[in-house]
Amino acid sequence: MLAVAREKGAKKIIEAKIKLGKLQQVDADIITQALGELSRGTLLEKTKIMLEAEETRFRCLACGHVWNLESSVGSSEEESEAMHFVPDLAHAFIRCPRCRSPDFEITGGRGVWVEYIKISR
Amino acid sequence: MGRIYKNFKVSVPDPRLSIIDERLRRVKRILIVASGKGGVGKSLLATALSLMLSRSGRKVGLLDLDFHGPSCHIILGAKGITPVEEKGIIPPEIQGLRFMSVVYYIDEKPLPLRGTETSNAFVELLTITRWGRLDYLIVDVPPGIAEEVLDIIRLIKRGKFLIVATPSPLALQTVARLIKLLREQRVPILGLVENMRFLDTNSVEELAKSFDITFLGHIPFDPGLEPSLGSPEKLLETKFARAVANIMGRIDTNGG
Repeated sequence: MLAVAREKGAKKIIEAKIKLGKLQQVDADIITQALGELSRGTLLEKTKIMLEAEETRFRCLACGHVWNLESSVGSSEEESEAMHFVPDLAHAFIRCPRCRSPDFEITGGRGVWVEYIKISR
Repeated sequence: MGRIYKNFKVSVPDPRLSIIDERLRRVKRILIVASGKGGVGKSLLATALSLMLSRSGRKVGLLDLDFHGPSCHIILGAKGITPVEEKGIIPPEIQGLRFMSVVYYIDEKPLPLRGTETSNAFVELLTITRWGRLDYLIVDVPPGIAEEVLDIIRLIKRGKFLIVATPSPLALQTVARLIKLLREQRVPILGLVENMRFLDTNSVEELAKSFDITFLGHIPFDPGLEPSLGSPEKLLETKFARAVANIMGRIDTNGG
C-alpha cells in the first residue's frame, strides 16, 4: 500500500480495503493488530482500513464445475488447518462435487491482498 | 475527494520470499540431494547423510520436498507426528533431526498437484517452516528438473547440489541434463555420488570428470538395505551406510 501511495505521490491514504481469502482462514484480529503496529509513523497511520473476507472458489478442470469451500464436503478441522498453512493441500482433501475429480484450480479466496487504496495528493 | 487505485501491480517482491530468507538465515549449509532421475536412492542418501551428520554432533534439518511421493518418513520410521504451530511451523525432532514433510498433513492421501501448485506449495512450506539454528539442512528433491529444481535455484541460492546417479544408462543421460541445467544457471555443485553400484563400470565417475565436478564416491548395491527401512539404527549398520560415511567425510573436506 505504501509503495503504491509513494508511486502515486500521495499525501494521505484515506481508505484501503484488504481482502482475506477464506481458504487460509487468516484471523482478521491478527491482521488488524499487525497493521496497527506496522503503520505507526507512516501514511497508513490514520487510514480507514476495511477487511473483507472472500469466498474460496474452485473450478474443476475436468468438467468445468465451479463451487466454493462451503459446498465442499468432508474437510475436517485438521484438513482446514493444513490448508491454512499450505492452501494447495486442498488437492488432497477436496474433490469436485460434480465429477469427483481432484483436478481443479483455486480461483478465489486464497491469500491476503489489497483490493484498493484511496489517496489524496 | 481522492483517487482510488485498484488492481495495481506493486513493484515490490513477493513478501513470502523475504520471509524464506529469514527462515533460512541461521542455517549454515544447505545440501540439495537431487538427480533428475527417480529411483536412484536420493531419499535414502539424504536421510542416511542427515542421520550421520546429526550423530557426529551437528544440528541437522531434513526437508522432504517430494509432494507426490514423500518417503523420508518411511526410512525414519516416523508415524503419527504433528508439527507444533508457533508463529509458523516448528519441525518435529525425529531421531535428532528437525524433519519437515508434507506427510504430516496428507498422511497417506494422494496429493495430485499441477506445476504451479507444486511451486506454490513449496513456497508456502518454506515460508512457514522455522528451522532455527542448523549446521546442515539437507533437502531431498523429487525426480525431474522442473518445479522443485527451478524453485530451489530461485529461492535457496546458498544451496549446493549433491547429485545422485546409478551406473544404469537409463539414469546417466537424465543426470547429465540436470548437471547441464545447473551449470548453465551457475548453481554450485558439491559433487556426484554413484549409488547402487552393481556393474563394474566407471561410467558415473567418467560423467563427473566430463563435467569437471567432484566424484564423491560410490555406494554398492546393498540387498541388506530394505529390511532396515523404518529403523535408523539398523540403517546405520548397513554396507550402504558405511559407504555414505565415506562420502560424508569428503563432503566435509569439500566445504559442504
